[in-house]
Amino acid sequence: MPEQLTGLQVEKFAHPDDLAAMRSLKKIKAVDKATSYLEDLGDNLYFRMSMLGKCVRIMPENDPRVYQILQDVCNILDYDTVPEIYSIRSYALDIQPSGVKKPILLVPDFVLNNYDDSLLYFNLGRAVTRLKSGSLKLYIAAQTLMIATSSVDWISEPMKLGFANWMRKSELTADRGGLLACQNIQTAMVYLMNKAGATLADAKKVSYLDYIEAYKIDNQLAAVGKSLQTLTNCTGWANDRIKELFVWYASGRYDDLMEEFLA
Amino acid sequence: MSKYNCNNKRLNVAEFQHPVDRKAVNAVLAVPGFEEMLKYVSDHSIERVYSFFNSSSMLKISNEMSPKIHQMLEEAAQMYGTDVIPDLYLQRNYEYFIDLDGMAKPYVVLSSAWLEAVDDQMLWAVLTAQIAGIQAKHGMIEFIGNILDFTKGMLPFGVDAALDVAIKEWKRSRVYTTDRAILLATENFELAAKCILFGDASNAVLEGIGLDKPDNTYYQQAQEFIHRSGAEGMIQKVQTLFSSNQWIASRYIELYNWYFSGEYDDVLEGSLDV
Repeated sequence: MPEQLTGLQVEKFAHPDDLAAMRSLKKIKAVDKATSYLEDLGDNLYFRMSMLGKCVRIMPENDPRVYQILQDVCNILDYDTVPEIYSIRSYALDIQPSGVKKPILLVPDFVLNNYDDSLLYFNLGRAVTRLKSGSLKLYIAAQTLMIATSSVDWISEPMKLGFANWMRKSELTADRGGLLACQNIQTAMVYLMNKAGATLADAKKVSYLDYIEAYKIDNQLAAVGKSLQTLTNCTGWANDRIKELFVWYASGRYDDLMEEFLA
Repeated sequence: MSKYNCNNKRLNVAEFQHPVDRKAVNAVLAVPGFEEMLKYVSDHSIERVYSFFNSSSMLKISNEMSPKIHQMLEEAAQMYGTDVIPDLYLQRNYEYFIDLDGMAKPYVVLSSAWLEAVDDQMLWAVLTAQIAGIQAKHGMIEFIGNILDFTKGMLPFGVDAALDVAIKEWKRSRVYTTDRAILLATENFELAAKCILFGDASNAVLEGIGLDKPDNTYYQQAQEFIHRSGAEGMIQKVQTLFSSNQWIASRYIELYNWYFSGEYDDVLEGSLDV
């Protein structure tokens, strides 16, 4: 089992742009309060009710493996609430977090049926990082602002671009959180290569260093095209995420954090 | 001799149809000639369109292609004393579904992912439910629903909404009938409950719950859902009112209560008398 990182704070590893957006939100008290209210109404009432009625809750009694890993991940990342966790029918790879006061995780059955322990540590680590960082609150605030301003293009369009940029950066923070939870760069890379389209079996066989080496855009036109498409992309390109995570890992920041927070 | 363990029983849907489902069907049948008129219109309109769509975009599962499935359908039909066997179409899809439609010529569309995932026991169980659905006239619900969708906005204010809510309630309650049909065909509560939850839980979770055990973790979850009060209860009621799909929690509790109420035993005993 990966080791516990006592006292770890998301601020220590978050992407700077993600961190800046979070700090700005906290400064605007009215938005912060309104978001809490919306979160209570939307997630805790509507969303949780739907999950209870149409999904199956994972408990220590019915899936001890997954529940134990979730508890471990919360311990490793020093997150004090073990969220409720529900299984949903989906081919997706991301575990969807929801709720701030009463957090919930939705896990695709594909992940439950196919991911080994190490990959689950990474994937649950990503989701718990998003809960711990409070990024869901920012997500609700941004969505609400965009809906409120949707009829005024010159306000909503730049906002959408800013929102997409922040979303991409928050994915990078989540990837770093996942790596800290599984404490295995190979596992993190397998997940991201799987996310990029490789089958799980292929992703486990490929060397991530070779994969990064092969990912190059050496055509100017393609580079411009990519930059333009990136503007509105909310999740980030999977191959960029692989590269970003590797650069962060290789910079020594990961080792520093492990040294600083190992109990 | 039966190959799929239906013990030569004879089932009659009227004996176990859920009251809301039965009441709705009876209300339509109470108007003389209405069912025949609906069937005629369905046969000469929407069913022709769907027949073309199904045969041109999906794979029809013929007897030659899968004798096993046809054998199961024949035995299920025999159990209900009918010779109506639906056409089966396979649709490439990752979702799990098996949908019955058609009044004059019933047909079933099932997803490739579902067919790949089920074992023979579950396949047999769910196919018996399709025959039960035909016997319970569930194709009629779909057709009336289609007519209402088509006439939306043409009816006086309020009538539209009232009919919409009523048809949705009927659609939600029909699954209670087919869940009971699965239980009666298989005589296996755990399997029948698994058919309800299948697709909404991982294999490990389904194996780990112990769905036939009293007070299992899913039973607790479903009770928690059903007994919501205050704002949560209100939201649940509103969500339910405007949905055609029944909550799996409600289906599980409904089947659980029916199984342990003694009604199940009475119907099963009656089915074995013949």
